[in-house]
Amino acid sequence: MRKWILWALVMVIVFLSLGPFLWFVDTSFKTEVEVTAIPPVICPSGSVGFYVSSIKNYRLLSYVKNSAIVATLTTLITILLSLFAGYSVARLGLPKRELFMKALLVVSMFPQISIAGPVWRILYRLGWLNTYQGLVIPYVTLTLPLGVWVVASFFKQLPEDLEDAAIIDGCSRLGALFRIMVPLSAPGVFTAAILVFIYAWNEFFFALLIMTRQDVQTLPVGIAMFQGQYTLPWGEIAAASTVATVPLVLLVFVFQRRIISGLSAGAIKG
Amino acid sequence: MNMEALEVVGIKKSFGRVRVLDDISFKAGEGEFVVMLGPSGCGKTTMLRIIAGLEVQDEGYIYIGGKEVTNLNPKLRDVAMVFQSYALYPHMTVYENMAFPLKMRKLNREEIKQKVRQTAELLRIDDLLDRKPRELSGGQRQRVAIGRAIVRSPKVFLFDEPLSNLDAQLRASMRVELRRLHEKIGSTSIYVTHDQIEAMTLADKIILLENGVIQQIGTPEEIYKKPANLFVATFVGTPMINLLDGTLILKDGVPLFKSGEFEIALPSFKEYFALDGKPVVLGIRPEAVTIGKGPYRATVRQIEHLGSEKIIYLELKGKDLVAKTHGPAETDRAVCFDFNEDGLHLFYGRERIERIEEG
Ligand SMILES: Nc1ncnc2c1ncn2[C@@H]1O[C@H](COP(=O)(O)OP(=O)(O)O)[C@@H](O)[C@H]1O
Ligand SMILES: [Mg+2]
Repeated sequence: MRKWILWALVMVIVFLSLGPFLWFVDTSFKTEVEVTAIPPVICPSGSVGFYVSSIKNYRLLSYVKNSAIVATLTTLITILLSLFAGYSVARLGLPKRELFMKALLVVSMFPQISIAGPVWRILYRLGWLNTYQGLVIPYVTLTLPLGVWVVASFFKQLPEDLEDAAIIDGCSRLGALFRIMVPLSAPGVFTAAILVFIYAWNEFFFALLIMTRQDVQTLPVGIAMFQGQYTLPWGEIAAASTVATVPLVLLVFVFQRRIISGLSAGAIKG
Repeated sequence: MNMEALEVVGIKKSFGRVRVLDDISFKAGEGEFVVMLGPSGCGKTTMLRIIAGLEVQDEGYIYIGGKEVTNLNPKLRDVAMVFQSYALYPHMTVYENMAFPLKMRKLNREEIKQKVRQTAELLRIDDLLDRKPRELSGGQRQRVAIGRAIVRSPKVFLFDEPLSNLDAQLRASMRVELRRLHEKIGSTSIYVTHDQIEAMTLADKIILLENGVIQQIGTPEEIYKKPANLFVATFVGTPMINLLDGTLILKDGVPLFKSGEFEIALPSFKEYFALDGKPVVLGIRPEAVTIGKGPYRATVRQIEHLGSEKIIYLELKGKDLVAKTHGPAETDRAVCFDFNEDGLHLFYGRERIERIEEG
C-alpha cells in the first residue's frame, strides 16, 4: 500500500517536471496544421518543418553558436579560476576558511537585479555591450562562488600529505595542483563545470540586458524574440526549445555517474 | 668542507608562541640509519619536514651531502620521504606511483621502466604494478610507498613512522625487512618513530627527543646502558625502569642509597661524596633484578608470563619493584633477590651520575 503511494508520488513528480519538456518536443515534430488542431494531436506526424523554418527564418543556428561560445568560455574561465581560488581557500587555516566560505555564500545570494545597473554602466563605458566578453565576464562573476565552493570542499578533503609527497617527488606547487589535486577532485570539478555551463546556457536576464543586437544574442533571448508583435510561431519555438534542451540532457547523461558522485561529495579514501 | 650525508645545525621552530623545536643539531654519516625517537607531539614530524623543505625553520641550517640546502625548495634537496599515511596517489597505478618521481625528473621512458621494475622486484611487488592503491593491503601499500622513495636513489631517505599503521605482526616483519633493505642499498636514512623497539632494532644511532629538545644521541646500546637522564631512562626499556626516591648517604666512605627502610650499597659513582645527604633517584632496570638468592627479600604480588621470561611485580617494604627474569616465583610468597650492578642508575635532579668505571 505504502509502495503504491510512493509510486504515485514519483509519477506525479516525473510528470510535472518532464511534462512540459515532452510537450514541446512533441510539438516540435508537428505540422502547422497539427499544432492548432483541437482536440490536440498527441502523435505528431514527425515533420521537421519547424526545425527547418526556425533555422531559416529565425536564425536559430546563430543563437546556438552564441550560446555555445558564451557558455563554454564562462565554464572554462570560471573553473580555471575556481581551481586556483578553491586551492587557496582549502589551504587556509580553519577560521579564515569558514569566514571566506560564508562570505562567498552571501555574495552568491545577491539578487541579480541588484547588480544589473552597475554592470550595464561598466560594460557601457568599456564599450563591451553586445560583445561576448561583455556577457562572459558577468557570468563568471556570478558563477564563481558556486565553483569555488564546490572545488574548495573537494580539495579540503584531500590529505595534505598527497601534495607534500608530490612536491618532494619533484612537482612545483602548480604541478601538484594539476597532477594530483585536480584529477582526484574530478567528480567535483565536473559537477561544478556542468552546473556553470547550464547556468550560462540558460541565463536570460543579463543576456537580454547586455545583448541587444540580434547577431550576438543567445538562445534564451533569441527564442523569446521569436514571438513577433502579431505572431506566435508556436512550432518554431518548440523546435528551438528542443534544440536548446537536448545538449544539456546529453551532457548530464554522459557525465551522470561523475555528477552523482560529485553531488555526494567525494569519498576518495584510497 | 663538510661531507656528512646530512647535517642539521641549530634548528629552531615555533608555531605561533609554541616552541616545537629548540636548537636541534645532529649529523648523519654516509649510509647511517638514524632514528629520531620521542613521544607523540615532541616535534619529530616537524623536524623531518624541515629537512625535506616542506616547512621553513625559524633559525638554523641544513646541509645535505656537504651542500647547504637551507633555503632550497624540496625538489632541489634530493631527499625522498615515506609518509605515515603512505600518501600514495590514489588515481595512479602502483607502476605510475613509482614512476612519478622519475617522470618529474625527466628520465626517459626506458630508464623509468627499468628502474621501476628493478625496485619492484627488490620489494617483491612486481606482480602488483597494475593495481591501484585501493586494491592493496596495508602492508603492500607500505611497500609501494617505500618503493616510490627508493626508486630514484636520493641522497637521504626520510621515514615518518612508516610502520605505525600496520598490525603488530606485520610491523615486526617489515622492521626486519627495512633493515635488510637498508643494508642492501646502504642509503642514509632518517627514521622517525615513537616506538622504542623499532628504534632499538633499526638504528645505528638514536636521537632521543622530548618537547623539541634533544635528550641524548647515541647507539641503541649507549641509550639503554647509559641513559643521559631520567627521561631517557624511563622512555627506553620495557618494562619501564624502576625508580626509587631516596637519599644518598656515605657510610664509612661507601655510598649507600636509602629509601625508607630499604638500603643498598652502590657501586662507585663519580663524585658521589659531593652528594652526601642529597635527595637522589635510583633507577633499577627490571632485567637487573635477579630472583632466587641474594640479600634482599620481597613479596611477589603478581606474575605475567611472557613465554620464556616473566615479569614479576614485587612489593619491597611498601614499595613496588618490577623484575624481568627467568627465576622461580610464586604469587604471594616471599622471595630472595639481588641486583645486577650494571642495571643500577643513579640520578641527581634529572641528570644521571656516571659510574667510575665508565670513564
Ligand atoms: N602546522 C602546524 N601548526 C601549528 N602547530 C603545529 C603544526 N604542526 C605541528 N604542530 C605542533 O607541533 C608539535 C609537534 O608536532 P609534530 O612535529 O607533528 O610531532 P610528532 O611528529 O613528534 O608527533 C605538536 O604540538 C603539534 O601540535
Ligand atoms: Mg608525527
